[in-house]
Amino acid sequence: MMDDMGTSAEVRSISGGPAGASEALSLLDAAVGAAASVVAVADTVGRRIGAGARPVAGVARRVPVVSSLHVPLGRLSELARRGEQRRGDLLRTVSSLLDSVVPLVAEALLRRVDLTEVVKQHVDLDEVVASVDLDHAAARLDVDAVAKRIDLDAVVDRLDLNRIVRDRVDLDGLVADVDLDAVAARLDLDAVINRIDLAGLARDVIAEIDLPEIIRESTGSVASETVRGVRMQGISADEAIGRSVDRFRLRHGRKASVPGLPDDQGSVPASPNAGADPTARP
Amino acid sequence: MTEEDLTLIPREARRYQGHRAGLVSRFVANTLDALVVTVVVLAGYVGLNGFLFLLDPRGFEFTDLSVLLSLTVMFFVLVLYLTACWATTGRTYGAHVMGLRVVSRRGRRLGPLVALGRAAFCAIFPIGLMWCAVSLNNRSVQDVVLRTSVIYDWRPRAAR
Repeated sequence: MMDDMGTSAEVRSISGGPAGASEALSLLDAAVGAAASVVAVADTVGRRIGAGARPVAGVARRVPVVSSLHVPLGRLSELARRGEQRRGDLLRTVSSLLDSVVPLVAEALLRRVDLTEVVKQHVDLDEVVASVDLDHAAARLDVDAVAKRIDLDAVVDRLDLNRIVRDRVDLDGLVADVDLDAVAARLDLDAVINRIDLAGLARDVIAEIDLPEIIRESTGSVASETVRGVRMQGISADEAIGRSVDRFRLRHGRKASVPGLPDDQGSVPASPNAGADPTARP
Repeated sequence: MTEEDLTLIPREARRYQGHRAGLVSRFVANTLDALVVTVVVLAGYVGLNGFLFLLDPRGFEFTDLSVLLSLTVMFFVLVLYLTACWATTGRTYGAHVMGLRVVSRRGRRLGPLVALGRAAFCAIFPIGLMWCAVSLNNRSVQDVVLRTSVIYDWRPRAAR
């Protein structure tokens, strides 16, 4: 009784409401009952008629007035026509019945069975996937549409492009392939120069390096190669005289430098020692 | 003398800068100075005679200067010339040509009195220069007495 109530409730929930469920159930019950009654009556009647008519039928079949072929064929055709009609009706009835029952049964089964677990245990997904022509499937994909749905900015934000370029890109090779001459030829140097305040820059440089003073000192320091030669020859002669006198007097060296001026190596003392006697000669 | 000063001097001469000069350089410089003074005196003599010629062209005759007067004039011109040069730039024309400079014992420019004393001493006793040939410090008699030095200094300007 409880199973019947549960089944009725499930039928109601599946078929969309109490009215539809009860109607379908009533039809099902009526069909089953009618079929059972018809089968029982037909069985009883058939047995009794068969038992009583079997001798009469045997005599009638021997009467020459009635065509032995005509009578059975007409009856059979009529029966076949009626049977075909009944079969069609029965098929429609069964089909209608299956349309109502199968969804109910399938829904009840799916509720009681974990289909995902069943698939995991009993289906070799790898084999299924291996049998799929993924290339064909991928060829049917609209990659452009998929790409449009991707937030490339977010993807790029997560990438360390500097590291990728530094580790994987041969920048030296790329730069070596660049035709810098062609790049330089395309540069508009006039525009660049026009943007520079050359006059102001020149003024700043001259002010910083004191160019007039350099020119003044350069022109006054060494007048010519002749003067430089004369001076160097004088220094050489001084050294020659000094060495000669040293040998004559058996001296080993002279002291000839002055405080505040470079020593033998040309270095400058940090603080000249006032009154100190010079210590060496070049 | 700073490294920046040395950049204006030829590389081969840098190691000599600031060292006392020897006899040959100083002798050549003094010779040039003597020539300069001689030229100045001669120029003065010519100028004086030219002036006299302008005053009396017909009665003009070259002035006959005695040797004593000439030497005296040359002496004073020389002293004046040396004093002015040593007290201002530290170098005469001869010293400029030879790259020499007269400095005090501290390596600085001479004061006017020291320059005057040294000029007079050099004019009176020029042979004192020869002492630098035998001196351990390349010093002349004037340098020893006045505690001055004549150094190689190719810089255009003197240290103050």
